[in-house]
Amino acid sequence: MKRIPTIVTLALAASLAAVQPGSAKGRQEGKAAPAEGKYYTSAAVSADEKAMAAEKRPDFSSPQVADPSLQAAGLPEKLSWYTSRPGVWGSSRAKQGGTYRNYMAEFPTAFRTVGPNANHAYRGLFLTTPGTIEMNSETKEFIPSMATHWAFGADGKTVYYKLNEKAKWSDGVPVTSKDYLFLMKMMRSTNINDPWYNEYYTNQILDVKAYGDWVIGVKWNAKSDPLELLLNTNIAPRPEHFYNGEVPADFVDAYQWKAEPTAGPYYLADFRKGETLTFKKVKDWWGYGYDYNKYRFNVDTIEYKVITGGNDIVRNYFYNGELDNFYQLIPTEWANAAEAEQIKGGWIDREFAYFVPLTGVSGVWFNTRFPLFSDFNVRRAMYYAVNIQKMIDTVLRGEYSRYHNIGIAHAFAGIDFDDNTIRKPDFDPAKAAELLAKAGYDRTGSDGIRMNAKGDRVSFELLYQTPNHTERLAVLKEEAKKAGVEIKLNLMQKGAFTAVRENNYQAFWGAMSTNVYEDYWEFFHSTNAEAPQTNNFWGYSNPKEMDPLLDAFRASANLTEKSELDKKIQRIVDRDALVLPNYYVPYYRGGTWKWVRFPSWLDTRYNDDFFEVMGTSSGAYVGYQWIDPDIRREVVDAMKSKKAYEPRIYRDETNMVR
Amino acid sequence: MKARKPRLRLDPLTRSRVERFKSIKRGYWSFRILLALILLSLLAELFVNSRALLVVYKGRPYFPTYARVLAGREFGLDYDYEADYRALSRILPRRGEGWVLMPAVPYNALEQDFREGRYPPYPPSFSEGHFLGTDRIGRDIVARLAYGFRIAIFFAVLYVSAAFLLGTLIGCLMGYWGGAFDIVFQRLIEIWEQIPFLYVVMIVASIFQPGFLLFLAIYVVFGWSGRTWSVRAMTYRERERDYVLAARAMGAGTWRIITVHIVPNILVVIVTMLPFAVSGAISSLTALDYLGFGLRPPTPSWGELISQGIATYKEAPWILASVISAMIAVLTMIAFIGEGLRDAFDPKRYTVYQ
Repeated sequence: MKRIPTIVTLALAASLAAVQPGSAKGRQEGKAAPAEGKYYTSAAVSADEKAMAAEKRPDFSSPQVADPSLQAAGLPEKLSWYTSRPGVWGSSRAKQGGTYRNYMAEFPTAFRTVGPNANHAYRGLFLTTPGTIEMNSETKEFIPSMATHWAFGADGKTVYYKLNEKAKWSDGVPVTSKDYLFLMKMMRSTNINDPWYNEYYTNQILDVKAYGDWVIGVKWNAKSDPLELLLNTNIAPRPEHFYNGEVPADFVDAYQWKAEPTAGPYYLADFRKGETLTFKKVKDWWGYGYDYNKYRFNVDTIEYKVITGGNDIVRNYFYNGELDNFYQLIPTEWANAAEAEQIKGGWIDREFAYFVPLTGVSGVWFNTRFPLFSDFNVRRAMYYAVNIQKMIDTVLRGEYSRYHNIGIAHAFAGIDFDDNTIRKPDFDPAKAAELLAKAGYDRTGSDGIRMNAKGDRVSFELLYQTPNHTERLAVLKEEAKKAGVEIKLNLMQKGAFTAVRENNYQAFWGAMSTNVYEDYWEFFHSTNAEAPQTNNFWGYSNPKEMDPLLDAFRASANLTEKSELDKKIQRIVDRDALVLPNYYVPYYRGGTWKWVRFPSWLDTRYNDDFFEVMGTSSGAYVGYQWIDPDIRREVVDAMKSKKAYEPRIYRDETNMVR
Repeated sequence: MKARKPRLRLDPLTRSRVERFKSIKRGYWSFRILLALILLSLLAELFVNSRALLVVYKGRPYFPTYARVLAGREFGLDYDYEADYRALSRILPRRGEGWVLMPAVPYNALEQDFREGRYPPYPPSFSEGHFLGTDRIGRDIVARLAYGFRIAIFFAVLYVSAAFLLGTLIGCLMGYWGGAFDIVFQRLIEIWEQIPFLYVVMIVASIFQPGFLLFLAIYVVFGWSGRTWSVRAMTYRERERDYVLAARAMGAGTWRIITVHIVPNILVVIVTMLPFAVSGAISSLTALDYLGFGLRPPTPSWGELISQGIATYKEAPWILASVISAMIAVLTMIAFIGEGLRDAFDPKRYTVYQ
């Protein structure tokens, strides 16, 4: 059907002229066709696109293997050393060199990474020294990094690391065990003015001992599964020589604007306060000794420019060619981008990769202390009365994934802690009515809302805290009417979570952050059911079934056993309908100028932001893109003469969860 | 009981003021149009609604507009929730079981109209009945505007009435009694007015998420004090006039003197301020809604439309254009009325100095 906008008010007339082309047709992905029906192409572009099409996803597996060949002297006990040997994860198409232009929303408030004001959004840029080992973001296995090998002490608490003898700080000084000892000294010093670290490196990490220059032993505070120990004892050193082995009383001020040397691939080479940060690649970086770093960290220089004013401004910088990439996670952002001249002209490519995001308890929480939700059947009825799928299909344009459980991607060392078979039913007003009738709400009021014999209506307040979720929730509200359920939206921008912690809510639209895997004790144990200020937000109490599982989980030191317990807990939560899960964002996507090239597979299973260039977090699949100077030249020429390439959207659907 | 004379009867002066106001065409027409809009908005359910005006099903008439929720099953459809009358208007004639009369705009302000394969905001379309298009989740703009107008204008009228009533009363008493009462209230109001009104509303709104009445109460609590000053000053002047002294000499009480003698004589200040207070109230309610501190969503509101419109002005200019046009129209009309009233009540025009 052709839709001609009708002019209703005079003021509308002018603006409507601009509407037509942007409305519906062009929004379908990548379908913009040039007028003549033929696309332009150029030598370097077509050569690389051909090579890309032939490229196969590498084998990312890196199982832990014993390495009996390694013998280290001077150790307190007899050890068997383990390592893993990941292969080449980069693309052989990669070219070296060039400058990658990035932005930051504000200038860092400090260059030191501990102490007051150090916890800013760009802290990661100054914390690029890798840990002893890293986690494979495809398989969640461990891979060597600052340490080549690891071994487990007999006490069940200590992990020994054999350090990589080639590792160097960016100023050329080798990284040795004394830098790990200095880490402890620094983190335990009250001069850093950061109690959290003081506590963590005293009571959680109990001790670090050096055995010669190249072996350290790290002691954790509790006996755990070996793999869990690895996760917890994985630490990154601090350059002792840079601090002259001291943490001075004026540390906070003295190091406010001093970036320490890094053992990572890029160091801070230059900066203008309030404006730019320039990172340069370390000459002959030691990390290239590992295969998985081959074809990685390809660009020479990374620039961060402060751009304030939010996404609208950043978008303009990007389209003007002053930034190399731009995120388009939000559905409308992605849809509207298809209309941009630079994307229609194929000068900007777009990348879209699915991954499995680590997600905890997220969705509609039902407070069982609220009389309506104290009834199991009412909570079950909400599974059928709250139309999450419609919200996803409409407001979220079908792009987010329906979430069925209270956990996903809690995978660790090859063990999955989530029962991924749990499914929530589809919206079904009739089924909801049936369950509500069971709970006594068997008649319909004159306003269409179900009620019981006493006249109590099936009506509740849904507390939420983000104004831009109103549109999403408005869909739920309208749909719920069909099931005879009234949802009153209650936006509280401040203090919503406090209300939830005080058990002073009916239903809450929210999410909890999560860990590598979840210990549900705090959430569901009956000890916390009646107490405010605990994490048992639901007031849930099930001493017969649930408590033993939660206690067993805490008592167990075996990961496989723990994973089975977690799955059982999730199934009970699913049955008892404490949470109606909502959605998660299963992808990362954005646009990059055509000269930024990626491996054909883009991303790994558990890695989110594959656009990241610097490798700011340990074990992330980042820094595998590169800049192709030939393509850059061709694209700049094509833009000058307005020649359009075929628009490209590179999609990696390997890790799409269906 | 004796028949009492109306306390505020139209004396010749007032009559001539009314005549004068009527002769100011711009103001008078604005007044008539606005009054018509307000009256229409009271009956908005008959013009802008997803419920049918009349359903004739198997020979029996139904009037769903103000009735209880009628389930789809009552019209031979296979569901138990409220009938979709737009669908019904197509289905019934086809089945030959009856017919449906829909309002001019067949959408209410809350429901979302999603189309297969494309995403809102949808542009204006006569064939779909979205005369001004839809917002970001497919809600009809005309409906949002109409119901938003109703809420805003009644909020403003109620607020202004309450604030003026309270403000005038206290202002009069301050002026009439003077002395300690006056001093205490003056200082009290001076302090009270230093509290930044918008911040207070934001703080309260972010904690309580107030409904219509609580919101109104907050507004009145912080709005009355500004009205007292000019009323107090006028009363101060009037109370020394001979007619007041005469009334007092005849034994009239405070209440009678204020309501019967003083208020009619200082009405000019009050009346001329009224329209501007109304437009001020509409603007600030809109501003609060825009900032997200207003009435509880998804209450239809102009401020919420503006914030959507600004976020989507490129891909959906009809949102911003509609609400801004409506806002300009209403505020301009109120300003014209205010201007007309000011001219009509201008004392220079009727005072003859001898």
